[in-house]
Amino acid sequence: MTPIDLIAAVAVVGGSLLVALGGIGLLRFPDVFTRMHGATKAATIGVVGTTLAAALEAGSPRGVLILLLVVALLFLSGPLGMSLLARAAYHDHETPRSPLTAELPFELPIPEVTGSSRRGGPSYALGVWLFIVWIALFGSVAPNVVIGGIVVAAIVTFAFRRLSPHWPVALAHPVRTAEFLVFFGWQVVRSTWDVVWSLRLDRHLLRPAIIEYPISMTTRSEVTLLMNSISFTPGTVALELHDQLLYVHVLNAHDPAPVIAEINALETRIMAMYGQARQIETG
Amino acid sequence: MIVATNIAALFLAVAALASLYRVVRGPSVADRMVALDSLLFTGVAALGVQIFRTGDTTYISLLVIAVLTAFISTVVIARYIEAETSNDAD
Repeated sequence: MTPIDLIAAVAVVGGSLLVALGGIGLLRFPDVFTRMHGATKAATIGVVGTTLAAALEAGSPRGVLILLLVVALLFLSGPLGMSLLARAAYHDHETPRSPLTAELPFELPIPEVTGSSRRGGPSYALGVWLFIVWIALFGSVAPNVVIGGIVVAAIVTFAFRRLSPHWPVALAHPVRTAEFLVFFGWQVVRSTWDVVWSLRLDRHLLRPAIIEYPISMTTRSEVTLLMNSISFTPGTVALELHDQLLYVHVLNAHDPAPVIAEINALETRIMAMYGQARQIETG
Repeated sequence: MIVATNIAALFLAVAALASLYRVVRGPSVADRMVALDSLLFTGVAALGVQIFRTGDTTYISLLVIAVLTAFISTVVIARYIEAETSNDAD
């Protein structure tokens, strides 16, 4: 048994265990918002584990690309879907909510909205990303696959040119991006543990809360990245954004202060990643 | 290796049964959707375990496609709940 086999075996067992714990969360947690924390968050990290094992087994560059794709898709689309579902359930009065849920306003001066200018034009980074996805899915670099990929990537990039995002300037600085990823990864690991640990609690001991957090970021890309990061982190789901106020559902908030500090730290780091772009916009 | 996949299969079976229970019991549409998502993720995890166990990487692309599909169905159901809510308001 090689060390790689060992890592893969641990990833398979650990990943499946997280998926199972998410399932137990579905049974034990009192309402749809709390169930989301367990089922889709813990399970998401679990899927990363089993995909890692599959990629190690494949042992090819394609396996690694598939792993990166799954992780990227889980981060980009998973939390977005969950936020939309949570938002719909939040506004729907027929969806039962745990009677213990507390609504906590968090007092901070509401920042001035400066607005941002949107530049149009296609996003070339998006095109390159689509091309990489195409190659990874086909798993070959035969000429017809490459040409097909270029054509499809070009068409999609052109069709969605008005929706092209601002890319964080920090992406050009690998160190800053790596620093954010390490910070965020650690955040995810720690809060996954928190969610798993709260599975032991009886329903009436769990204190879910809806926190109101004033955000100071203004561009859509920044807000999207923040809401996605919050929703990807187990234990918190972004519910709604209204007049620069972000509503976040927290699984267990006997004390909301650390959760607010976490959101604040995420916001600061994301804004730092966009730092240079903001200076250009305002200057 | 085989022992690890057997343990993993047991965990996944527990997850699938728990999700199915929640799909049946509900009570709300959103609950069922969360449970269905969980069931799909269980399937994706099972596929990863299967690839690891057999070493057959034919279906590795399915991992990506399944994760994408989960997103689309969740968004559709979210829109449906929102439409229902605004209908009730009228």
